[in-house]
Amino acid sequence: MNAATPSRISLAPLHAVLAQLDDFILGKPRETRLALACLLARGHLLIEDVPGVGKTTLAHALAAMLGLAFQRVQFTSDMLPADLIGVSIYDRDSHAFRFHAGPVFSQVVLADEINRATPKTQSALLEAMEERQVTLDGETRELPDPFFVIATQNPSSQIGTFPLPESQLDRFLMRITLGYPDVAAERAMLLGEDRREMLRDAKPVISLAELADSQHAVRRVHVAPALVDYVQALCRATREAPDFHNGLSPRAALGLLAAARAWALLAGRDMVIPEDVQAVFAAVATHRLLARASNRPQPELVAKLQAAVAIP
Amino acid sequence: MNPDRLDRTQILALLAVLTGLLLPHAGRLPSWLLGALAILFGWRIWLIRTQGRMPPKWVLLPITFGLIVGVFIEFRTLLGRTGGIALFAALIGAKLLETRSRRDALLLVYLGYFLVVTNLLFDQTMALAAYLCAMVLIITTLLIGWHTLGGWTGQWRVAFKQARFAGVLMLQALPVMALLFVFFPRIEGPLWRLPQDRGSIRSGLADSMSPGSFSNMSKDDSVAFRVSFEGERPAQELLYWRGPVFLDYDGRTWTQSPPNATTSPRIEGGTQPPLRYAITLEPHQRPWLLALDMPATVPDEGRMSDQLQLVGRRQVSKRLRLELSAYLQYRAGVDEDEAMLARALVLPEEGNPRARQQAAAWRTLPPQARVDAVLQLFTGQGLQYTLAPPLYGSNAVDDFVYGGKQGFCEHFAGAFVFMMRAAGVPARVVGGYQGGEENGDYLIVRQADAHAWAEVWLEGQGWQRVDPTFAVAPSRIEEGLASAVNDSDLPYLLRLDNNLVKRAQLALDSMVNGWNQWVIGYTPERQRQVLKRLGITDLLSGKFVAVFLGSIGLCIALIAGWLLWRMRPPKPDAARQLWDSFCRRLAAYDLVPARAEGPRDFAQRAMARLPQRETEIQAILDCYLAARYGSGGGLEQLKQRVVGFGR
Repeated sequence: MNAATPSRISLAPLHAVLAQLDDFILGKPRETRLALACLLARGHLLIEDVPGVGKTTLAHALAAMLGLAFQRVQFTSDMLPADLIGVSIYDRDSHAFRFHAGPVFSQVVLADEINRATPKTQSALLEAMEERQVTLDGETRELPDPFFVIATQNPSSQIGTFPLPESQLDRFLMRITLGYPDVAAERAMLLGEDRREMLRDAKPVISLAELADSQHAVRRVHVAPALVDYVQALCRATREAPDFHNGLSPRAALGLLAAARAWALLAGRDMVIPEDVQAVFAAVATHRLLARASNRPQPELVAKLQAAVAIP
Repeated sequence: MNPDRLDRTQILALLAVLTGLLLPHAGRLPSWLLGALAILFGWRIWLIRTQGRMPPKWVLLPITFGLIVGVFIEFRTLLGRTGGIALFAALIGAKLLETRSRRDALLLVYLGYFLVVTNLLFDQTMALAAYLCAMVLIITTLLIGWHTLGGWTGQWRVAFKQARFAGVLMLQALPVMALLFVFFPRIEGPLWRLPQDRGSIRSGLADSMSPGSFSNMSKDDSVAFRVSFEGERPAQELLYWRGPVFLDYDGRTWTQSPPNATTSPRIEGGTQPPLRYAITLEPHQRPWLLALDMPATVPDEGRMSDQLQLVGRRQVSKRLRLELSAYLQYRAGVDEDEAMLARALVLPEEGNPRARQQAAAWRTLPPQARVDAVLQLFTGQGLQYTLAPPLYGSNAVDDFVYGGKQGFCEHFAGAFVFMMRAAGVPARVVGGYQGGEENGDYLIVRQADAHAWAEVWLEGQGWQRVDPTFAVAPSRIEEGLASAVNDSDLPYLLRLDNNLVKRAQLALDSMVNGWNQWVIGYTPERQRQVLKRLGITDLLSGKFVAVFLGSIGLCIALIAGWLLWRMRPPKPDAARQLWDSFCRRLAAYDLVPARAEGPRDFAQRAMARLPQRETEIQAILDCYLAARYGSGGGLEQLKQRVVGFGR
C-alpha cells in the first residue's frame, strides 16, 4: 500500500514473529501486534484479564519467538524482593559473599499475577524496570539487554489483590487485554495442538542482532511537527478532561510517540501518521487515566476522548 | 464546608477595602459616627477571632435605628451630600454585622463601588482619583477572587494573578470610560451644592490695597492661575495680569470701587492681531477674573466693567478655565467719561504735603512730561525695592519717597498715583499679577507674583500702563521677583536655584495642570464646543445618540475582536490547506471526514465509495502523508493532484 519502507532493515523477521504469534494466540492479531510494538519501543507490557484467556501463553510465545532468555515469576502475597532480585550468600571456599542472581536477571521476565504481591515486592520489580539495573549491598548490577517485563494481572476486583499504584502503572508502556476469543478462533484452538507442546517446539525466528536493529530502526522513524501537534493535542485533552483524575504525564507522551513509531515500523512506514497514534493510544493511555467516577481505567471514556480530539 | 460561607480572610479583606473607601470621608463625618463605625468594625473582627455568634435581629435593629436618628439629629436631614454619606456609612457598618454569606458580602462589594463615587462628590483632585483607582482595583480583585473557585487560597501569587486580571479588565474598560467622559451629557450646575470646602480660605488679591498687602503675598508659593498661550509666549515684561482696579484713596488704603458693568470704555487694538490664550484660575472666592492686559474679548463667564476689568458673573469658587485674547498694544478709554476722570484725580484733604507740593510744581508741564518727572524723581531719590519695607506713618508717601526710601510694589504704585493726581493727571492703581514661571508648555503664576502698577489717562491715548517698580527695579519685571530681592527670604519654590525639590514640584504641577485642564476643566460649555467640532449641536439629536452609542459599540467590538483574534487557531500549513481543499471537493460526494478521522482512514473510505477514482485518491494521500508527516517536499505535486482532482 505504501511504498516507503524504513531503509536498511528487513521487516521479514518481524512479520514472521507476528505470523507465529498469531498461530499461538488465535484471533487476536491486533493484540499480538501491540505486544510486539511495545517490545520494539523498549517498553514493558501489562496484560490484564481474567484467568485463562492466554496471557501467559502470549508472554511465553513472545519470548520463544524472539529467542530470549525467559524467566517466569509467580507473584504471591508472601513473596519478598530477594526472591525476585537475588541474594548474597557467604561462600566458604572463597571466604566472600557471592551474589546469586534472582529471576529478574533475565531478558524476558514474566511477572505473573503481579497484583498478588505486596507493594514492597511490586516496587522492587518496578524499580528494576525503570532503571534497568539493580542495586544490592551497595553494588549496582546491570540487567541484561534487551530487558522486557511482561506482567499479567487479574482485574483488581478479584479477591486477594494489591492494585498497582498510578505511579507504577505509568512504567508500563502498554496495557492490553486479550478478552475471550471469538467462536471460530476458540473452535480452532480446541481442535488444534496443545499449546504447551507447541511452545516447547517453538524455534526463534529472529536473531538478537535483528531485534536490536529493529529497536534501533524504531527510533529513526520520522516524526513531523504536525504529528507532534496531534500527540500534544491528545495529551492536553486528557489533562483538561473532567472525566479523569490526572492527565497523561510527559513520560506517557514520550511513550505514546515511541509506541506509534514502533507501530509505523511494523506497518512498513518510515514516518508516523495520525492513524499510528490512534492505533496505540488506547493501549498506552487507558491504564494511566483513572476515571473520576469509578477510580478505575475506563476504556470507553478514553475512546470517547480520542474521537473528540480533532487531528490538527 | 458550605461554599457560600465566608472565611475569615474574605471578611478581613472586605473590612480593609471598606475602611480604605471610608477613609477620605473621615473628616466629613461627625466624630461620634466614626467612633460607632470603629466599634462595629472591631466587633466584626472580634467575631471572626472568637468564632462568635452574630448579633440577633433585636440587637441589630435598635443599633441601626439609633445610628439613623443620630445622623438626622446631626445633619437635620438624611439626604444631601454629607448627610447622605453619613447615613450610608452608618448602614454599611450595621450591615457588616449581618454579613454571613457570600451573597451579603457581594452586596457590600457593590456598595463599595458606590462609595468610590461618593468620594468624588467632595473632591476631584488627581491624587484622590489615583487613590480611588487603586481602590477599584482592589475591590475588583476581591470580586474576581470570590467568583473563581476557592477565593483566597493564602497564596500571594494567586492574589497577584487575580489583581493582574482586574487590572486588565480596568484597562479594557478605559476606552469606554473615556468615551463616556467625553460624550455623556454633562449636567449644568451642581446636583446638590458643590464643593465649598475651600471657601473659607481666601487667598490672593484683596479688594483693597494697603501697605503690606502685597509684600505679605510675596512668600506664598501657591498657584494663582495657569496659562497656556496659543502660539508664541510674549516677553516677560509684557505679562501684566490685570485684576482689581483701585480707584479710591483715603490717605492710607486704596480701595476698589464696585465695578459697574453696564458701560465700558472702548478698547482699540493695535496693528497686531489679539494674542489668544487659555487661563485656568484657581478658586479665589472673588468675583473678578484675571486677564492679560488689555482684554480683547469678553468671555461668556464674565463682563467688562467701566474700569476695564473683567468681572465674573459669580465669585470664582471653583476652578475656572477661560479662553481669552489680549491686545499687547492698545488704546483704551480714549473717550473716557468725565465722572471717571474726575474720580481719578481725587486726593484726600490733607497729608503728604511735600509730595503734593513737588507734584503741583509740575502742573505746567505737558502730561507725558509729568509722568516722566515723577519716574525720574523715584530713580533720582534712590528708592529701593525690598520685601521688608519699614512701616510708614500717616504721611506714607512723603515718608517713603523722601524718608525711608524702601518699598514694595504697593508703595511704588501708590506713591506714583498719588503724585500723578497731585500733578493733575488722572491715575489709578491696578492690582494683579506680573510675570509667571514657564513650566513646559504653560505658565504658572503664583500668589507671590502679585503686583500693583499704575495707569494714567493721557489725552488722545487713553489709559496707559506705567509701572514705577519697573523704573526702579527693572529686574523684578524682566526676570521675576527672586532676582530683585534677597533670594533666601523666599520659600523654596520661588527661589532662583533650580534644585531637585523644585524640579520635582514643577513636574508635579505640570501633571496637576493637565488634570485640571482636561478632566476638571471639562465643563458643559467645553463639552458643547467639543461636540460642535464633531458636528453635533444638540445633545438630544439622533446624530448624538448614533455617535455616542456607535463609538462605544465600536470600542467594545474592537476589544472583543482583538481578544478573539488572539485566541484564533494557528493557520494550517500549506500541505494541510491543500488536503482541506481536497476534503471540500470530496464533500460533493457526501464524504466528510469525522472529527478524529485520520487522513488514511478517510482516504480509504473515499476509495471504497469512489472505486473509479481509487488511484487518484491514493496518489493524493501518498503525497499528503509524505509532505506533511514525512520529511517534507512534494508540495507542488500534491497541489497539482488536488487541483487536477476537481476536473
